[in-house]
Amino acid sequence: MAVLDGVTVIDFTQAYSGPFSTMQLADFGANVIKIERRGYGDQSREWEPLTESGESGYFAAGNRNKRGIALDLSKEEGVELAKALIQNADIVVENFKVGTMEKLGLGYEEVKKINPNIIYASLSGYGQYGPLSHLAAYDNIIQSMCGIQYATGFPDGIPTKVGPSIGDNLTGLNLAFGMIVAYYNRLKTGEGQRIDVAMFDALFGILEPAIICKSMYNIDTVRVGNEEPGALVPYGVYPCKDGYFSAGLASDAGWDRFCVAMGMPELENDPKYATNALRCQNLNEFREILLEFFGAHTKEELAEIFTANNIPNAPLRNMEDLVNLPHLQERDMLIPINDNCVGEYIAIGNPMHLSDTPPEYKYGSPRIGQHTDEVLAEMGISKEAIAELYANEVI
Amino acid sequence: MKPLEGIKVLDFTQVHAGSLGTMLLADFGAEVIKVERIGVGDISRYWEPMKDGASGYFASINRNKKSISINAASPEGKEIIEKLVKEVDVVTENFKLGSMERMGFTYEKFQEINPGIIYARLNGYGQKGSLKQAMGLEIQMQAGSGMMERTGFAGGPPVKVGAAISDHTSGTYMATAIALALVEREKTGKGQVIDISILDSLFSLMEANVAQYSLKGVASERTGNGYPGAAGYDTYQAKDGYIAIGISTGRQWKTFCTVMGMEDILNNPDYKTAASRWDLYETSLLAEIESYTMQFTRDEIQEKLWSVGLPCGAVATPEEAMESEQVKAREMVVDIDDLGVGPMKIQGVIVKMEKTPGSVDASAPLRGQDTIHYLESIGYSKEKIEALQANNIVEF
Repeated sequence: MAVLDGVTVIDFTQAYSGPFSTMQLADFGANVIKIERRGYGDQSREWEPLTESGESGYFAAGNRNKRGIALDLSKEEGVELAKALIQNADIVVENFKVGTMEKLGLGYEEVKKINPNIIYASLSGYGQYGPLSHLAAYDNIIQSMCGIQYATGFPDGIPTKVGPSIGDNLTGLNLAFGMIVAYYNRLKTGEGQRIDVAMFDALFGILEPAIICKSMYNIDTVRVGNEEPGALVPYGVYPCKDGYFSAGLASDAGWDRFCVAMGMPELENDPKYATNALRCQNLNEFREILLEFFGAHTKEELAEIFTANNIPNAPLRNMEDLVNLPHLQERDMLIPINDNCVGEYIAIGNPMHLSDTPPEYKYGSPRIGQHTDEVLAEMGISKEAIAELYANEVI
Repeated sequence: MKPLEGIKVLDFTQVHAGSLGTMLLADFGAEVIKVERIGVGDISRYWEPMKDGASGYFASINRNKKSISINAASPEGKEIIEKLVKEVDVVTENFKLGSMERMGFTYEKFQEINPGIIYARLNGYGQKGSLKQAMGLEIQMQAGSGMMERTGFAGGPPVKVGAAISDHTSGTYMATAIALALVEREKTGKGQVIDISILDSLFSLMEANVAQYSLKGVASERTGNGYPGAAGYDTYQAKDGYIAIGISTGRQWKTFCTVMGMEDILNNPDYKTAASRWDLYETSLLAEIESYTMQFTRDEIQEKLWSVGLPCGAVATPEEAMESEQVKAREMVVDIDDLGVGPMKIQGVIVKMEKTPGSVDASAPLRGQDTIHYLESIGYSKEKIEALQANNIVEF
């Protein structure tokens, strides 16, 4: 039995952030019913990578283990069907622009009338309240406004966006945490409630060093590239013979071993480099030594040298390296899935390894409306009525 | 009433990732009892920024928690910990692989003492897998997980994310997994072990890149501040800094050109279709767009675009964001009076719950400040506790 067996989630989410959050529930057994706009579907169905038949690997990667139905929510009958689904559900999730669910007649107040103990979870750019709540947002906009883009990149370069859409997936993860905590609370008290998670809050919320330094020292953030100048040296990523490699120390401890690893034991007591503070002062000179050493070796050689000397290290890995990394396979992080839309592909496993109730990968993502008949039949709607809904272009 | 009220956590986590995970539990009402090494404590107590010998770093991720200070290597210390394990719902740790076992604490032992115990473990590479012995700091986790490989500009070097994303992602996964395990325990009475690794956690954020590699056999290059195929979805130079703009449809493109006064670009036949705009983006269009954006301040562009419903946002420093009305309205910065640091500001609660909201009710504990309380709660007398302190078994 999966943890969330018997938990029904009516999922209005689209694109990436919301689907990422409901995938966390689906991986642990929740009955996630994805509602898509009839005739169009989730916008991410158009996003690369696309197969020859035009199916999206992006959509597949964010919607496994879910069932899909297609509804026309601009028709009254469509909204009635959504309400009927919600009536017997535990959780409703949406990530529309603020106010859209209200316009559809599916706002929290409306939904509470038909299911008073519902957990109603909303994910948006800026949240359900606050001066910017009405604005549309994408991942790049949120990264820009919350400060994380300013903090990423090189001092002499331009502010750099974090590559993966962390405005989406980290926010989705926070929403999943909120939904599970709210469900736990409902198990104990019977009460549902509203959850409001904003991309802006989720990304701003991980910038605590900036908040603390400003408040304690009145120091402003500067971009530092891939090193920690002024704090920790050696600590960085440097080019090597066949790519990039990272090795470094968390404190002065290990400096002797680092020198041995580089084959330069004489550096240990060098008056320019003997302590972390000195190395911070003389980083520019010291970096030349690092660049020369790293540049003369391959990733494999560096891994061997630093591991033998007990120094934290790792190569820079690209997707090919990662998909072929035995460690990730051994940890069930690379899951072959035969998807309804894109066919065979490798999905990223769920990182929450629970020993007795592990994540399960039962099926891939749904085709648009793939489970419409099945779900409507489960609701007790007759074959004839379903046929009529098709005829009226509601489903 | 908070949702996790009544849940007790015996918390062996140190430094950032695990401490962040248990902070999320504490924010929502769990009683988190941080176990600290006698005489030393969590090593992040010595990390900058510091004031009067107290760390703001420690303060920000250990709010709402209790602290007991114990010599866990001593037989008496182990006995105390075993008695506490009996009283709690969850045990958490984020040591190097095998450290708990070396101290004599195994899941089997915990289970013997407390059959329904939930045991959550977090470290760089996890409890199993061929790399499990490897060591990695934040930067190695970012380099090894794909995060850095995906960040930065095509043709340029990989770039480190300017925040402790390893710690936050894995810590949030740990808290979420514990919440799942609590649901399971509520239903079946059974506990279990949770194994969270930072590598897995960051790898799970790789969006569709793994699907792309497996479907197409190639991974695309780093894409800088933009999105392949979308001319107008990028970060542009303004008069006083940079601004991110999110133009992705043809209709948005027209509105964008009109509101920015870029009629010449709009009417240029070379830029008629989305595909042609993308083809010429790096060679000419980007520079032409910037020749306009550079004439205005970030605020001016923001006002123009927001007034017509186009997504954009000025690149703000974290400090500018911190001062913004949005952050204030959402209470994402909280004033506390830390026991060590004194008055300071820390990050607020991300997940907003209507009926059972999380909150910052207490500052981070001083090392061992709750030792007496918890020892008394498991039956130790005042005299016994004083004797334990005299023998360097506990500290308060």
